[in-house]
Amino acid sequence: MTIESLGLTRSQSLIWAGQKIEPEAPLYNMALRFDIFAALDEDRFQLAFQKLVDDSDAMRIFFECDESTPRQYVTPSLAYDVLKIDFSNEPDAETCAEEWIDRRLTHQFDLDRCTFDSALLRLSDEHYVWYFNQHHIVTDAWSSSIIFRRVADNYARAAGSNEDHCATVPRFSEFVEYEQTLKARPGHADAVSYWKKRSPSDSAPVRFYGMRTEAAGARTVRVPRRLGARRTKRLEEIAEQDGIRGISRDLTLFKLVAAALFAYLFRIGNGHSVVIGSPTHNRSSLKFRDTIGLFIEMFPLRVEIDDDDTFRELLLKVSNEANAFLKNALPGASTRQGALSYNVVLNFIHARFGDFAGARVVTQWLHPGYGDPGHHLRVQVLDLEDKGDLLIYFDFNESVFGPEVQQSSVRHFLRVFDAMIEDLDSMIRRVPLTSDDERETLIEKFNRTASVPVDGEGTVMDLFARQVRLNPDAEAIREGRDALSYLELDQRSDRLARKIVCRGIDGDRPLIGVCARRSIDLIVALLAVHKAGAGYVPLEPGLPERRLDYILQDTAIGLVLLQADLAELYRHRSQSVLYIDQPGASAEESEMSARLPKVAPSSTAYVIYTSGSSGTPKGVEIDHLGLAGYVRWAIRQYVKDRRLRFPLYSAVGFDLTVTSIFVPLCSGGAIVVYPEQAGGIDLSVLDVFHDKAVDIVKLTPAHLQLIGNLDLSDSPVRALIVGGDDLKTSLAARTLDVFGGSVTIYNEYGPTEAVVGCMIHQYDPSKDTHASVPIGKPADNVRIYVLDPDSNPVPVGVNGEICIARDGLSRGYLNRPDLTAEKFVEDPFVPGGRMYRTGDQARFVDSRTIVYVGRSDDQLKIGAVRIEKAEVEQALLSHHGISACFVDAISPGKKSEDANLRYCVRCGLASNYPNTTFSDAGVCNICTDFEKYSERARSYFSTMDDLRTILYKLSRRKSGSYDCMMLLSGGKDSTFALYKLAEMGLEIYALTLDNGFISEGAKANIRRTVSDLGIRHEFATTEAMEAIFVDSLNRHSSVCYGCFKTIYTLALKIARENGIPCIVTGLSRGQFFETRLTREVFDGDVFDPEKLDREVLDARKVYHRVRDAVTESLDVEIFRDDAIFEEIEFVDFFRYCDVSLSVIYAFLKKHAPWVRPEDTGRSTNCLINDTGIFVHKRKMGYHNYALPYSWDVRLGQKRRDEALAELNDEIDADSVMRILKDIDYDDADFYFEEGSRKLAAYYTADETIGVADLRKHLEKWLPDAMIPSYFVSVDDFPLTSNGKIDRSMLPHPLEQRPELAQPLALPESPLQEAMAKIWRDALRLNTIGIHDNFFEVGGDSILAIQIVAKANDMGMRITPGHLFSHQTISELADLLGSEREGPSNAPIEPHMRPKEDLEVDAQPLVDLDEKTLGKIAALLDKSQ
Amino acid sequence: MPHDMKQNLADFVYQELLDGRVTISGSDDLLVSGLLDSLGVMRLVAHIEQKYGVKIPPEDITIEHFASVDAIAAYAGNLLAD
Repeated sequence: MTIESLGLTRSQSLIWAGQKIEPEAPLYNMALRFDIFAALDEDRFQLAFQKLVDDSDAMRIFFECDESTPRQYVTPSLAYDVLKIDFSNEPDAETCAEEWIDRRLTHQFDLDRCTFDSALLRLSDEHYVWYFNQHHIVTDAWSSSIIFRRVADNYARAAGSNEDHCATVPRFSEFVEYEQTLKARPGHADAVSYWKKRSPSDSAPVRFYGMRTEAAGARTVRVPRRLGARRTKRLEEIAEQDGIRGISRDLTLFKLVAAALFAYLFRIGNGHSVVIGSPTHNRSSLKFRDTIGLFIEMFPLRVEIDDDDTFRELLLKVSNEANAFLKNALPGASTRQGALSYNVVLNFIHARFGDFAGARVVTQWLHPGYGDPGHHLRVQVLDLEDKGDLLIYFDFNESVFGPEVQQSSVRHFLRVFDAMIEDLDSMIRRVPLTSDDERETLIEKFNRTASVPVDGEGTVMDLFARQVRLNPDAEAIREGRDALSYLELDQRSDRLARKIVCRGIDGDRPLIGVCARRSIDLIVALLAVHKAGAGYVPLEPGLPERRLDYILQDTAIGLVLLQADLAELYRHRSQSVLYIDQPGASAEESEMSARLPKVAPSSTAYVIYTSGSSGTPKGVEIDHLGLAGYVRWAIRQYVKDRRLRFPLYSAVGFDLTVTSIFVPLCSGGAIVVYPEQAGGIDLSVLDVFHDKAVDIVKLTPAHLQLIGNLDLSDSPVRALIVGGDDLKTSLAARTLDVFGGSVTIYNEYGPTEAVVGCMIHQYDPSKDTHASVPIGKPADNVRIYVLDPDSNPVPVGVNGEICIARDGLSRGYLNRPDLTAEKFVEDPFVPGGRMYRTGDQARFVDSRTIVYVGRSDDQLKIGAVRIEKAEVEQALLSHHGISACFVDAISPGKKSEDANLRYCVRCGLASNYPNTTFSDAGVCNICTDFEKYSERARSYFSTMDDLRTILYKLSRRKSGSYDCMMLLSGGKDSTFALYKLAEMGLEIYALTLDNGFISEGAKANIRRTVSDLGIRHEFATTEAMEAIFVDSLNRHSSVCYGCFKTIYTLALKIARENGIPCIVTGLSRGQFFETRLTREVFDGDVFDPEKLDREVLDARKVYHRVRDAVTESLDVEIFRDDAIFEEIEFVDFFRYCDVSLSVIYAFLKKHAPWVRPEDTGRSTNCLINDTGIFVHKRKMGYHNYALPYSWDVRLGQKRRDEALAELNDEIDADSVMRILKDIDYDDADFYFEEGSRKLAAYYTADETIGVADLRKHLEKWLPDAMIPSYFVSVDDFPLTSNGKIDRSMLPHPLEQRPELAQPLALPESPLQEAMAKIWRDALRLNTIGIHDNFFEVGGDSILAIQIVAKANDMGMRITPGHLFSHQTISELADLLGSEREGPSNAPIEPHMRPKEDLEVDAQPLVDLDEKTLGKIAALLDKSQ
Repeated sequence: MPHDMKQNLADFVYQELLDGRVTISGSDDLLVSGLLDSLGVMRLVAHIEQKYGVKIPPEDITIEHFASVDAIAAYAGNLLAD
């Protein structure tokens, strides 16, 4: 008899691979325990079992690896002795058996010998346990039931005889072969393509309760839960209902349980599209239903759940999906992509186990404590003994689910399940998930804040008065050289208040407008309004005219307090005006005697306008109770009993500023005023930090971004209160760094409606690792709920809406009773209380901390300003030329899908590569240009003979044993070069930089080749590599740049130490064209290679002197002077060797022990390479290999399709994230966030409307922050099938040049080009004209700061002020040009100085001629 | 046509799903008897769709339509006639 050899089925291969990844873990042990209550004949049992082994080929299968491919073999005979153990004499036989089984359960099978383990335990005369464990690779649940039945039948029949009563079990090998033959059948390809379509690569696995799920281990915990007879019966009744009943009971039950599981996952997960995996039994014919072996195969089920779906609607979707699933579940048709698309598995086990030769049996499926790490939750439904009581095993991955979450998950699942069987027509999202205990924790305990009595102290004016009494002479406010003491401020505001009172104040809740720049006057006015018993309405001087019209009309303000020099603003308005301070004007007697009222806590303190979804802004009314409540809490939280100085630098119409005004004045501190700056954009916040005059700053995340490049380690500011927008952890970490670690960062959350701030979290870098810094816990006297739409609390980890109840919650929106009623509702947990529904989505990360998630509606926040799109759209539509419009927030970093790109028909260069244009024939400008100069470029190249001559000549200069050093990457090119150098008989020193990420395959290649050639080789390393990567990513959005500089630095140093006169590089011809032989070089009539060589050498000198992580971490003493560059020359091998790719491969195949590494991306040896590509794409919007590869194609080193395939390879974001974290890349999170979002306006217009015109129009209606950054004219709006605007089909604003008044003018001088490059990078534009206006192409203050910082890095001395006054590249370049000629260079503004000075030691960059500057700009950009 | 179809379906069930082990007549029950389970029915559906170029909507996959070869042929015949 021969041993039969077979391949593996699809499922077997997956299990094989899974086991290979976790060789030590018993992931796939399928163990059963049969308690047989009878006196068994042990010998007879042995015979029965052996007969099973004899009858079934699957029992005799073993596995061996043939090269790297596993194969299975069926041995003709296998004698198996069932292990027999007698525990019946033990005092506690059951415990002994259990312990024995527990130990045995994790048995690791040697698959090359035997796939199962069978034992018979005797617990008593009448009680045996048959323990049977088999590796999943040859069995499944159905198969186990056949095994059980077979052994039981054999036992019953045998009665000592050897007669074969029972037909041989059908052979498993038939199924293995059947699966093979299926592949050739017509339906198979359709099925495979169905599964491919069904598992798009973007489908997200379920993120349970907001928990991270990457890098799960293999340990699992099984939580069993019986559904009970009642639930099971109910389920079965539903399964019989008309419209529900399917072709089989099993299938219908499966669909019902699947629907409940989908609904549960939808409720606690992260999206509307939910995917689970499920096995199909694959026993499609009678014969296979009797076969022992592994048949099941897993396929994904994917359902789109809508918010308003009922269980019945979901069930229909599940039913259709399940039918399609079965139809396409052909053996062998599953895909790897499919297996990766789910992390939840539903396994409905229909197998039944009966009695054993008439004896009663209890069957248990044992859990080995391990499972496939990709399956975070497995829900196994079974009723092994057909009891009418379904048992569910929840197998939880331990690294994803902690013990508490395991319990609550089961509870939540059952709540959803019960709601479903209770009423199929109930809405899924309406099922209350939380239990009473959870409610107690999340509603009551969480909101048990320090309750500060609200009595006595009254309004903020009472608190202020107290400070006046306590410290009359202390400084209360300072504006430049002017300052007022508490007493003076009190008196001045009293005086103004009396004047107001004399004018007469009427109405129930009187309002007074205040129009003043940030100044002492402003504060005097605000206090006066309060003292006069009115509420203030901020009317900043810069308010757009139409907006001011609206606010004045909405508030019906009769009186405006005005700074005298702003009189013009109100000259033609109907409001009466009172000047805040007219020097010399003395108060009249009647005014002095006017009595100031006692202000009640219920009177209005202020009305602040925020963006409104109806298209007009809405006024939020806050009373004194709320204001004083916030201020008292803020003092307790931030100030305690100190006297702190707060800056007043932000708009008073923004409620963030309330903190900076009232907190110091009510606690004896002081306000330091920073007036508005002239020009469009107010960067006063920079002055605040530059000035060192304050102790604490209230600010927004956008402000933090502005100061992200400063060094504030010696700043007196000790605390930052961040409010207004979601604070990303990466930004908080960077900020901490800016302050050298010595600043406390408070994240304060609170919408205007709930009075400035009502939640607080102190940032803790060691604990706060979510993408966003938590918003924490409630402030004093505040209750925070996270609720579902039915006002039920959501469990920990599940997103819900933040609802706020507090003392002094806003009364509502002025003149908007409808909207007020909608947003301010009854507090479901405090009878008679009111609650504000914020529309903000959040979740508990644990029972004590909330983290902000996003918005549930259209509201946007940009730079902490609330923006309702409707308002922007209404303003746009008021422009006569615009017929329709749509406003959206976009992330400039996320460019359009690659699908929308164009590729050069020749070289494959993508249209998103900067400055790429295409001819009508689809040929890119680089290809077109190259045609013109390729001939002339030939003179740059030379022959191998020349190379030989050069190297021999240089070798005479050697002072050690080596003629040259070869930089060996281990790739095909450098390996080829190494062999050629060796052929020349040179003594070579080969050097490879081991950056910590070189693949093992590549290292093995290197070791083999150098040993084959017998040459000296070193792996150079540096401990600073991670810091260098981080620095390189920060500066160049690439890892390669830092790596290259490290290689060159180390190589030069080692070469000098060893007296080696030259270094040979393996740079490709493509790289020469990319970095050196650029179009401009051929602009003149004559191309002079020697001149180019000199320029490259000059650039090299500068390159090594640009200070960065390489120069900081490595010994760069050798670059002190230029001697090293004369002593050691660089020779580029491929400048002399013209060789095609196929020749290289053929050569290596024949002569070298070199093989293509399989453990990296396609054409790299470096495992961190993908990370660099990923970051570059995210940051710069295009692939950093786009240009290099286009050159490879242009020069015939790569095929176009090869290059495109490689460039469009999907990069696994998870592994990138891991590497970024590993190398301590601070900004790692940044690339996984949406980035700073900006407003884009799409419009259709009857005529061409310029961006400048549109901006001008909008400026009349909207504050600066609400004016879109991008304007995109479209012919019409693409619609979805639902008739909504299809956002995915709208062009990305950065794809097309906006309608600008001036035609595109490309840079002419190198300085303009250098500046244009900086602009392009910052603005993420492919193309920019030198006359394009900064603001019209999407510029804003943060980008201005980035551009200035980058320009300063390159030695161009400009400030944000310069950029605001010179808004085009051309103007800026002119400015720089003229300044450079002038006697004195404008100094870099102190507060703009980058953290690490990027000056060049030897030669300041700014002194280089423009040509070299341009060259360096190019060189710095090239990272290959 | 319907007759051919009936024969073809009967052959498919007999050969592919029952491995030629159980002989069935056109009116024999396939589902309640357990001869075919849901996977078998779906294989049959896929076969009909492929062979006759029709699309069987999921809501049509009911016990009534798939109870026997006769029932299936009647259903599929109607589908073709439409």
